[in-house]
Amino acid sequence: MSVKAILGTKVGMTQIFTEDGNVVPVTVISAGPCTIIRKGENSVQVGYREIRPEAVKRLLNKPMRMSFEKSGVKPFRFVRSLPADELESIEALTDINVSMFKEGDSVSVTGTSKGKGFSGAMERHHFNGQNTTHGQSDRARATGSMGTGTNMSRTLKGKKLPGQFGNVRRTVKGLKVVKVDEQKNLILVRGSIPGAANGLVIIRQQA
Amino acid sequence: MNPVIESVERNYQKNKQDFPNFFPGDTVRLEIKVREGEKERLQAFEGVVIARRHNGLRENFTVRKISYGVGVERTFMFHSPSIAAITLLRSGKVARGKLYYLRDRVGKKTRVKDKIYSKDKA
Repeated sequence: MSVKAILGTKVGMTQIFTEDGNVVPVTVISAGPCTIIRKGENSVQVGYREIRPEAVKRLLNKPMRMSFEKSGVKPFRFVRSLPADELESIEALTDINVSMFKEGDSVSVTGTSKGKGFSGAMERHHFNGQNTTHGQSDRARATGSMGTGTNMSRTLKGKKLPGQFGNVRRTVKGLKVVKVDEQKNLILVRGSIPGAANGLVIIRQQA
Repeated sequence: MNPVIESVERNYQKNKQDFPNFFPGDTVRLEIKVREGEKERLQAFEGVVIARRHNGLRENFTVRKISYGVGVERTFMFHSPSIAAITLLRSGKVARGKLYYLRDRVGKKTRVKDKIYSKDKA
């Protein structure tokens, strides 16, 4: 049985002590249990966070409801494909939980970063802006030059400009698992992870 | 605070009943675990508490002492496992919660008045 990832919800950050008195910053993730709905070639489809029976009609359209019914599982809020190997040993309709991780493991965490809306170049790309003095009136937070003059006669693709910042899928690699609580379905990971509290995250094992 | 985070932090919190209740102005003696290679020993730090912050697991306090004529301050995490013991030596009578003014004082002025409890209270 080896599904190599799990779905979870970011709870928030705190800090904890190690035995020798050091303080470790950790993110608390409530992960799993996830139900395996079906098996793919080298992945499994899992469902996470059951929908209460009275809310099913409101949250799912009929095709989705029927799809869950056909697979013989309860309806879930999130259905995702997760990497897995040794598929012969995996059974559909069983649950996976945080026990696949242990202290000291390296994991990568994928989430949706906090949306910051349409942001200027200073916030989005850490530009420095220009002077407020020397006769300037409206240039303090301006983007600046668009590129060369006659020589190029165009702005290069990929030029860093203002625009939508955040609210994109991001992965943080190489995070260390500090603690696993199987009873409470919690994983404590050292450092920060993308997104706001209550956001969906995917935690993957790293080789 | 989020109840899940609170439950995580509770596992690392010390029982306050195990330590004396001390306030800014009090003189305390701490036993701190120090690692030297493989061996672990206890080091004492004695001084006046000049600040105490209450913030759950992050509760901390600052102890100031004069060592060989030099003012030394250390801030400790109350719930840190490296604090083995806290002994309350003297209770001081002070008028504020943060005694940062002691940093500007030299000699006799650095003393904090003892708290005198009336007989019927004590």
